[in-house]
Amino acid sequence: MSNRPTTQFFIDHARHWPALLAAVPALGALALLWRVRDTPLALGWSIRIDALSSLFLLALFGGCALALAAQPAQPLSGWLRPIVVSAALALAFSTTLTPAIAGAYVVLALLTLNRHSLAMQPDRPLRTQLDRAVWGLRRIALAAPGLLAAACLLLGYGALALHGAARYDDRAAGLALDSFAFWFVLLAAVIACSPIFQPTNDERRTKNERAGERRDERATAEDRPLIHSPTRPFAPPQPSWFNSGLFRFAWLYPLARLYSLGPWNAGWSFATLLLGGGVALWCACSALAHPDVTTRNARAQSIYLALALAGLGLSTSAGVAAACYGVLAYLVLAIGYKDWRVANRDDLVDNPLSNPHPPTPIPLPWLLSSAIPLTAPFVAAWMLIGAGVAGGVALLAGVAWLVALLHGLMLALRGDEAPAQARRQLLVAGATSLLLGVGAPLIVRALIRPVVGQLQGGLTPYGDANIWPWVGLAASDSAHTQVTTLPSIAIALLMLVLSALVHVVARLRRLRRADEQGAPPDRAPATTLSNLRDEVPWLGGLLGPDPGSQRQPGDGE
Amino acid sequence: MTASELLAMLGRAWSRLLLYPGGLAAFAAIWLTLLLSQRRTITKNHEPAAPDRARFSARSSIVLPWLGLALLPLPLAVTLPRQADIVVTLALLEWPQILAIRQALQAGDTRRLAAALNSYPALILATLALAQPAGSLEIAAIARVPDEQVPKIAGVLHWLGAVALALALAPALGLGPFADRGQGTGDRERGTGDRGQGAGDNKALPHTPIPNPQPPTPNPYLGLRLRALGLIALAALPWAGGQDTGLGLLRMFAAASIIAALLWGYDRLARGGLARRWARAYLVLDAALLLALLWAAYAALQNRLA
Repeated sequence: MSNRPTTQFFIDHARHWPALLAAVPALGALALLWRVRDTPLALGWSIRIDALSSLFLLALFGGCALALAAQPAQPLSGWLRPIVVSAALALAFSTTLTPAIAGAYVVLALLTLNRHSLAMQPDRPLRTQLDRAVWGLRRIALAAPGLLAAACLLLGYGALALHGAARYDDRAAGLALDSFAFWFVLLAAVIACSPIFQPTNDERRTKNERAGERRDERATAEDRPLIHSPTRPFAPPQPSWFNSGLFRFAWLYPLARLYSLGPWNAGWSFATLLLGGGVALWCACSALAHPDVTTRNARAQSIYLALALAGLGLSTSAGVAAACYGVLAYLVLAIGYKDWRVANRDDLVDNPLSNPHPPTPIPLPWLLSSAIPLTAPFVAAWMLIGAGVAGGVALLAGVAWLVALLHGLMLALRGDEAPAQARRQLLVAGATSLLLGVGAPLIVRALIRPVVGQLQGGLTPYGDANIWPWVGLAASDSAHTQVTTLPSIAIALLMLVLSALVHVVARLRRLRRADEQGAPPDRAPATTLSNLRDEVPWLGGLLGPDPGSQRQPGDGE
Repeated sequence: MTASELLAMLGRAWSRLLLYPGGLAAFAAIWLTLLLSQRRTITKNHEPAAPDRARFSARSSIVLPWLGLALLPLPLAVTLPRQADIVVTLALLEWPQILAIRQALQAGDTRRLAAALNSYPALILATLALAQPAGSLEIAAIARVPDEQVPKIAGVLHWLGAVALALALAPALGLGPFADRGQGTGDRERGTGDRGQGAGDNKALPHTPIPNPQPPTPNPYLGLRLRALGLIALAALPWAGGQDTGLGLLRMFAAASIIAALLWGYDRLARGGLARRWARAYLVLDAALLLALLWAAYAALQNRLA
């Protein structure tokens, strides 16, 4: 009798066996990272595992385990594709053969092909041959951005192999690194990190959905539903936990690996941090402006990949540390932001007149934003700010800071309305974000410092990450002057103390109820953004003219 | 640092949290400003009886700026072995503003959001201008006046940053033409001459068939006051010269009073004016700061290569 609660506990949690199974290789990667923290491990002729490999393996398997844990327990479907993808990436991270690395990414690109995008219809008529050709290319690019990136990587790593760097740990491999190889590897990373090739909500509609919409439009006014919904859903449901976005971080590995060959020249570094900073700023501004929640979330994730790219471009210890942390922050967002649109769509299909956005009990989405200090996105941006100032690139620090502020504002602008189905993934991602943020000193010390140490041959001394055990982090410049300081653990504890104090005072004072007049419905996003374009000149300049402003006064009234 | 040193640090922090610069000193300053402006008491920040979500917003809107204020390295405050930099402090102070923006957007007002967006580039560039001569984003380093041995451009950049930081407070605090509707702005800007958009204030909000399920965001009134205090203290620090003495405290207090008085005057004179014109003026300020930063970086590069 006394064993019943125990038995019930195991029965309840046995449904999460996929997540437990995926945690095994994640723990293995962690053990491997500990093992290789001082000396890389060579297994055979072409397998070499160093700290960078181990960190990416940990990110890969740890991300999969968290993604599985974030889904409600249900039968695992489509397990073969993610396993093959994981195996290909594990090979890419472990091998020293440059052609094999490129080949593994081709496999990744083929397996993450979005076939549904090939059936997309344009949102406006294509009148000329040029329009049709451009749309055809765009549709292919939308369906297979990974293939484009893989092609660039094949060129880049292929050039390395042809110039004598068939293995990156060869003594003469550094001589093979030239601008041709570098630019294509950088291009592959930029294509994968940027959301340029992600289709918008309108573009996702296929031919059948368009036909369904035309039928709906021909319906009478009485028959027209209150909410215009297409005959078919916007996107076919993906396997429950598999998300190709979960693997986008892997495209930074080939670029980071180039530090093993030798230092970069100033032009390569400048191009990398320029592209990374530019993409991050563009993603942040477009995430603020875009009305579709899925696109907004996708752009928000891309911010941190782009910041990681910029961190790699600094060519300093602090920059590489910021890049590695940015990869971890990206994973947290990829898990937390997955499939909000699918969950929203399910709500609409089941009960279109009901509340489609039942709020989560506590504002979990805020834990995935940079608005609250000590979350993973905030710390990722903070590390890049410190690395930028330490490296003498203050403008990159300014861009990273602005991007973090915009990401925080994005949630204020209708971004914190997560559907109820997303609660579990937000809980998992939010808890991970807090752990990564508050525990940043431990994360950097245990996981990231070995990476920086083993890539020192390719880095410059203009920035380092210092760790204060039990307290926090700091960035310092070449003169060992502290540039930025974040006593994260101390701040978290002080925050707890103050929260307890405020809670007690609030209870003791028995403050009156707040006004609970019903708030008017949210203003339509288009009107809000139109006003923002007028009232914020720099944002209006970045976003471009408002399409709605083409109307003349009196039109359509 | 060991765990016992962490506990010692926390032990030293209590006076900062409860007495000065946070706690008693902060709430006394807020009460004084309310008294001078003849406003109602600060208990307007009501504890909502709504679910956890609203309670989280209400309490966090006080906790975070309170902590940010308590961590400021003001003169005569208890020294902590580890300080937070200006990025972390500004993030702590910004939280009630984000909640207030959320509340304003729920009511259909974008002015607070627009004011915040107009203030961010100026705040960031001003901070970078202060950080460039100091080589650090630590608040204590930023507040220190460059000595005679540094190049002249570093001194120019420092004072330019100090002035710009004070100027950036106007949109950051939503003063003057950047005030939102709740602060009783005039509606001249939204007249019929405004590109055909009509009298936006009286226009009915577009109907949506989906009811808004969100409980109203509680008014982070107290948190905004704490934030304002923190931002003014930050802007006053460079003028105090970074001295940790009674004289430094007096200088900081005088600078803060002057900045507050100037902001109050600006609010009185410019309220009801066209926010767009001021936004363009701030864009010019941003451009000037950017050019100054680039020039300083170029000069530093030349010195390094020479």
